[in-house]
Amino acid sequence: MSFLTPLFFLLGLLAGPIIILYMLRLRRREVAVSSTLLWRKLLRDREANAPWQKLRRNLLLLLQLLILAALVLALARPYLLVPGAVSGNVVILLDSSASMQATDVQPSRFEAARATAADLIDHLRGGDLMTLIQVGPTPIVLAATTQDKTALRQALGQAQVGQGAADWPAALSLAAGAAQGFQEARIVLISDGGLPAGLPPLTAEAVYRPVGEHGENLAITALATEETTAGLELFASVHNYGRQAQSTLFSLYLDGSLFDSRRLTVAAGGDAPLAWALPEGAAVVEARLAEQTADYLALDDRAWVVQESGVNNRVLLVTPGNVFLEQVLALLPGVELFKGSPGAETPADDFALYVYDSASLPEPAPAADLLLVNPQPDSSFLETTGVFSATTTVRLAEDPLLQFVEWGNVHVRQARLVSATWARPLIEAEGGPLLLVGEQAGRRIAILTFDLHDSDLPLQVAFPILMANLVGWLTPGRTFDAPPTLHPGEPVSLTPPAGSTAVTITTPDGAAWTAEVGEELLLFTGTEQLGLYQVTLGDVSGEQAAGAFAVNLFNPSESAIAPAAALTLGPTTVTTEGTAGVGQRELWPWLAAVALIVLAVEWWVYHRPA
Amino acid sequence: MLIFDEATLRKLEQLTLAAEQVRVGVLKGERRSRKRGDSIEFADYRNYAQGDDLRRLDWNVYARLERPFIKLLEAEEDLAVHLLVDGSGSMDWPREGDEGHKFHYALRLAGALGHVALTTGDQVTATILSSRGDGGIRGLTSDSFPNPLIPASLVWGPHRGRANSLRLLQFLDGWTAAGVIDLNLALRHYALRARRPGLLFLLSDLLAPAGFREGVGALQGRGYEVILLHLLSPDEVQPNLSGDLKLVDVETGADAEISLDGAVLGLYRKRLQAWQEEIAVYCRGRQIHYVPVTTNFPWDKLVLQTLRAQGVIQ
Repeated sequence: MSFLTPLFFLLGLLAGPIIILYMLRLRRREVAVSSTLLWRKLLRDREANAPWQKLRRNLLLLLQLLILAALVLALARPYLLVPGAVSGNVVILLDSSASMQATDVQPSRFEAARATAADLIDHLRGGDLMTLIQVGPTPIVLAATTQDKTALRQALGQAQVGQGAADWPAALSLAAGAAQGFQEARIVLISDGGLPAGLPPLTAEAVYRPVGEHGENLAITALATEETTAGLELFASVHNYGRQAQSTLFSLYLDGSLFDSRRLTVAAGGDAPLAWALPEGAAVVEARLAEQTADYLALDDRAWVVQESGVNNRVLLVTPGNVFLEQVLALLPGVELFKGSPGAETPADDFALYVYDSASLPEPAPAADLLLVNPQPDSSFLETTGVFSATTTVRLAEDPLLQFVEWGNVHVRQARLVSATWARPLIEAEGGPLLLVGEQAGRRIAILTFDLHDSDLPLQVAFPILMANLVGWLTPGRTFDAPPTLHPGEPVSLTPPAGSTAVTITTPDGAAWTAEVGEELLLFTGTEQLGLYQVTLGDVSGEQAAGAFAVNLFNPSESAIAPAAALTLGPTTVTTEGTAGVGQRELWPWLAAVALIVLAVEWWVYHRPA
Repeated sequence: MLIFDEATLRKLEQLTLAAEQVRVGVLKGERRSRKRGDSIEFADYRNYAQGDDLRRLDWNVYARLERPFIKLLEAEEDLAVHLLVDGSGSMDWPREGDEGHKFHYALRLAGALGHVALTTGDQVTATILSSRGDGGIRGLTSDSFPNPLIPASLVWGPHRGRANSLRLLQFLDGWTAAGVIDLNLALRHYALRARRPGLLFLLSDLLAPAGFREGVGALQGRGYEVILLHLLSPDEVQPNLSGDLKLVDVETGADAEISLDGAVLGLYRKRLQAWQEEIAVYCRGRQIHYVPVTTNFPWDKLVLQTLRAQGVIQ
């Protein structure tokens, strides 16, 4: 036991005055009585009845000295070095990544980590500050530099474990910010490891509190479909992160019904690649692992893949001959190009997009999206009033359609003067608009007012980008843009087709997220859960399913749940050992409590009825 | 202060001290004796025996019966009354004010009893038990005391006759109580000195460390009939003290440290009561009249009512 302020022991000299005062006090007031005979008898009686009466006076003195001793000791602030405690300005990084859901410690690693953090909160000294940061896919500061243990406990209770990987760089920069400017700053990482390499070094002293015991885990590390000449194929991979070989039952479900099961044995640290040929029309493929002997993380035992329906957008190009357009449309992904000649019979099939290049629109115009290049004057819903050659660009609209389009080098010889009340110009030249877009009678229409042969646009980098943007806007192929392997926390951009009013996404746990369709780009960020997300579009006629996307773990650093013995942060290695692991446990509150109790006892002794 | 008012005197003069065990009187007194005496009151006849005084022969009976009879007459005798007033330091209490002062009360009581005795023709001896140091008061020295065995005691008498009443009162006036007195020793000396035991009034607070029983026993052994008037001042019965005190005995100078609160005072009262009861039991067993008196009790009422009720006074 050591003392923070040993100088206060000088107050122990107050015992002298107390004893002196006591001796002075013992000089009782002298009162003459006729005889002390009876009083002596009385005293004899009392002493016979209560032998400690004689001691009572001394008892009071003893108690008072005891109070003084306790108070002086409390003021000297004794402390014990507690191996478990951390003191100073403490920043707790509470790992809430997917691997913290491992159940090798009961009930889960995250609950164990929560208990560790609660213990740290309990051991917090009076003047210590604590910051609590939950390190999930998005780090959250649960409680910022506070002494309030109640608030800290409450914040800790709100911490939730996520299903994705933790964003450690962001968390560490948050922690560095919280620790900045404080003496005795300590960062406590309560984690099971799995930190990415190349993290910046910490400015403050760091302590690592490992959570977890075992590393046995089988995981589906890959699940993907691919269209080959032979048809649709599914590839899967199962990895054993544990130390011993394990067998498992790999089951495959197509659209909810069991398709195949295979029993596998995966060597320790080994992979088991799998492949299937899938029947046509399979949309949602789910893989499950079951019957493992030891698997402490359930999150990576399931995986989903959504096979995009093979429908490409059919585009009809009507042109007297434009190799630039043909090539760029053929190269755009998701576009199946058909060609027609001006004046020829329009194919009866429905096309998602009609491109008319220097060709007249048929009457009636197809009820689909249109891209008009060098429009002819006989169009029914726009007016062409001549040509202009003052094509120096004066204004480019701020629009996502012009994203990455470098228009400055584009030269146009002449263009048609087109006016349409429903359209807004995106690119304006001195003489008139060069590019207009708009919606008319429920279809999207884009108009390039010049012949591509009259400009150097097809030779510029801007051309394929502009065309991709325009076609993407005109034929919103999928309602959402999800990469094939979507990780928890990654956003999904939504591009609802024209006419829809709302988008609803049903998360794996059944909750619904709905957004109104407006001008701005829609982004769905609630992908914290693993599983299938169903997308529903709403329009005036009702709701209709618009597909699904899957969020999978597929993260080796999360699936490798073996707890790390030490963490590497830049050049430093953070271990569980070290001086930082020893905190001070101050004892003065107990001493103060003892003083209070003894004071109460003293009072009672003094006023004790005979 | 000892002068009684006229009404009280008149009342006192109607009183007679009554001794249960009548003592042999030396002189003819005013009270009837169990002995046959030579008063004019007829008592009995008895046969003449040789040597009887012929003057007492009842000649009339002899004439009728021709047998000599001696006429026995009631003997009227006097009573020896001893008044012993404790003059120790503890009797000089309370110090503040005359209200309930034990010594003054005792002197006044002694005066009243002495007056009653003198009025009825008894022989009265008044003694103030005092320590040697106070002997010089009022010019009396130890040499003037008749009995060297109790040199420090102040003795008046024995005297008889109501004419001495005023002198008794004068004697009792003006003394102060002080010093330490061994009550046992003083009483034993008094008993040894006794020439004529009789009715003895002991007026004391009995606050003597060594006690009083031996002395009273010695008195009884010599044939005294003892009436114990136990005087306690009101503040001794109900002490008005509190706090942490060092109590100093005014008589012995001894001290006692005590912390007083309600409980301790309650204990004191119980203790006092037990003490008095103990004395009362002791006295009853030895045919001693024990009269506990609190000195705020009117003295005349005590004499006229309480002592009368006790049968000490008729």
